[in-house]
Amino acid sequence: MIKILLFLSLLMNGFNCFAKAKQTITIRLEHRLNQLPLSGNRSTVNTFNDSLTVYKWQYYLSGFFVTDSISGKQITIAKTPVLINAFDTSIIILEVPKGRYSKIGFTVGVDSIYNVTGVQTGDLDPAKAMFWTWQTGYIHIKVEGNSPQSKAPFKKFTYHIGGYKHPFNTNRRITLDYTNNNRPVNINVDLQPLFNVISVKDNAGIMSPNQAAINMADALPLMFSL
Amino acid sequence: MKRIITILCLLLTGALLCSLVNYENSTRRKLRYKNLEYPADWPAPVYDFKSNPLSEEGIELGRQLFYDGLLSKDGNFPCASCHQQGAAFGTFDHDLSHGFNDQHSLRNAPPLQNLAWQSLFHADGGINHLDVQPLAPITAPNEMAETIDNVLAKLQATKHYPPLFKQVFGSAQITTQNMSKALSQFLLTMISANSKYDRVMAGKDTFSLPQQLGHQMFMEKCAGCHPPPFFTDFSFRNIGLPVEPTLNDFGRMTITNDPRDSLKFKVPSLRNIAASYPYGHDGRIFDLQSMLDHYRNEVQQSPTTDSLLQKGIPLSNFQKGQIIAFLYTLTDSSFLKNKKLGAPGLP
Repeated sequence: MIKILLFLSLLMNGFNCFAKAKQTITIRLEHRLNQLPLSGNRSTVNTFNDSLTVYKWQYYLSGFFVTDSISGKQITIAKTPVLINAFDTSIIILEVPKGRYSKIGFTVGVDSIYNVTGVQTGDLDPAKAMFWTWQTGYIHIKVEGNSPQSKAPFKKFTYHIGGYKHPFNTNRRITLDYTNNNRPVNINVDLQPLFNVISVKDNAGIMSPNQAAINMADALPLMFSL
Repeated sequence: MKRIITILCLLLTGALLCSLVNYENSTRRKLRYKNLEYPADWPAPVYDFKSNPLSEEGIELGRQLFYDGLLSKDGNFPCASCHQQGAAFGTFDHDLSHGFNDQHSLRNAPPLQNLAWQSLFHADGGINHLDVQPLAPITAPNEMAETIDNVLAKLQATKHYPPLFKQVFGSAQITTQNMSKALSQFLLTMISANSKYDRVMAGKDTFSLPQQLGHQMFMEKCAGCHPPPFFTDFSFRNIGLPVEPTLNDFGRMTITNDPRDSLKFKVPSLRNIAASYPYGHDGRIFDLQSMLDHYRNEVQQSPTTDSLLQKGIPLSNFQKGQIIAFLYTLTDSSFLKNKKLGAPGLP
């Protein structure tokens, strides 16, 4: 009997150490083009009167966090950056300590530590083509498509926004209210605010960390809403 | 009670099996780990060996990759096509190097040596880690012109490589990370530290009179940017070479977008300099005489020209000859002919 008690207490200890109560939060991403669901066939018009269609849209989300609704404390969620393909990724599952939260957030981009420590794996594998080989660093968001106003070959536009170093750090933090605890979080991600800050006529290609990339990065927070 | 004992037994067996499997893994791999060998008075390397411990097997795998055309689109451009041992792993007698489809590179291929002490790569410093460096020439359309995925698929499809990767990294699945780490292991062993200069400093040899005078002159006039033991301070400087209008290469500014970095290029090491001609970031200067003539008479002044070169470097013909005599003592023939760094399978 003593043995059984001993075993049980060991078991309980084990639970305490390894299985702190957890809950999952499901994030549903709804990718949109000017409020309508994303489609390669749909076009949109930006504030410069350029018409744009999109055939590629990928980006990294990282640095996920939630804010405790009572203490206001921010809890960082350990998770390596996730590569989102807007044409086929829609769900991210986060594991958080059991509790009630008032805010949820993340960074669009890839933290500098992954940019300076050699070749990474998984979603960060340079073979995913979200990595500049000639100038080390991740492309945080890649949007490619066509526009009749583009002066580039094949009427393409190519916006590769990245850069982790001052003054061209394009990581942008997004914080959203999280009121419906225990329910999936539906986040609308719309390209329109990004397109509204660039004239395709004047600049159909951004492919390095520079001021134009910063201007676009500054529009990233406007893309995310509940 | 019986049930508990059964559970305990099961747990124990599990643990035992686990440790057996681990033992298997480690014995099957049997890697001969080694430390990088370099002179005791050199500073500690900047490369993080903990993330990629050197082993004889890893180094050998890296060597095979370095000399393998599979890494390029048409098979003609292994790393070694531009990085030739006899030219201190630069391109012998070429200003620019040849790449895929008869294209030229933008710059003179840099010699590869003592890479464990470098933290930025490329003449513009755009690459921040040795492991990611090979991805640049592999994917450059005018160099090896490949995609990373294709290279991995081609290596995976051979009979030769998967077992070697399994041995070194524990998995036969070839990944970007493991390919890069293997290449780094080989590249890190390219250490040049056995020139006449090194032997003289160690008290095992003596300079001739011109070499000795040249050494003094060098320390006075050149070591500001090219200090021993690496004969570079790893900084980026504009030495007053005007921009070449077809290449239109502004160096460091391309990376930083900062006009103050216009026409700055990485200060090259002068080790094995006599073997790695031509000189300058685009190889426009074909011999040491002309290089010193540039410093003496031809430094073009601009807002970013290095402050140490405001008056060029005044040198008499006599002094030029002495400095060149000294520079020849930086040639390390044991490095240029080291069979361990040569193509695998050659006698």
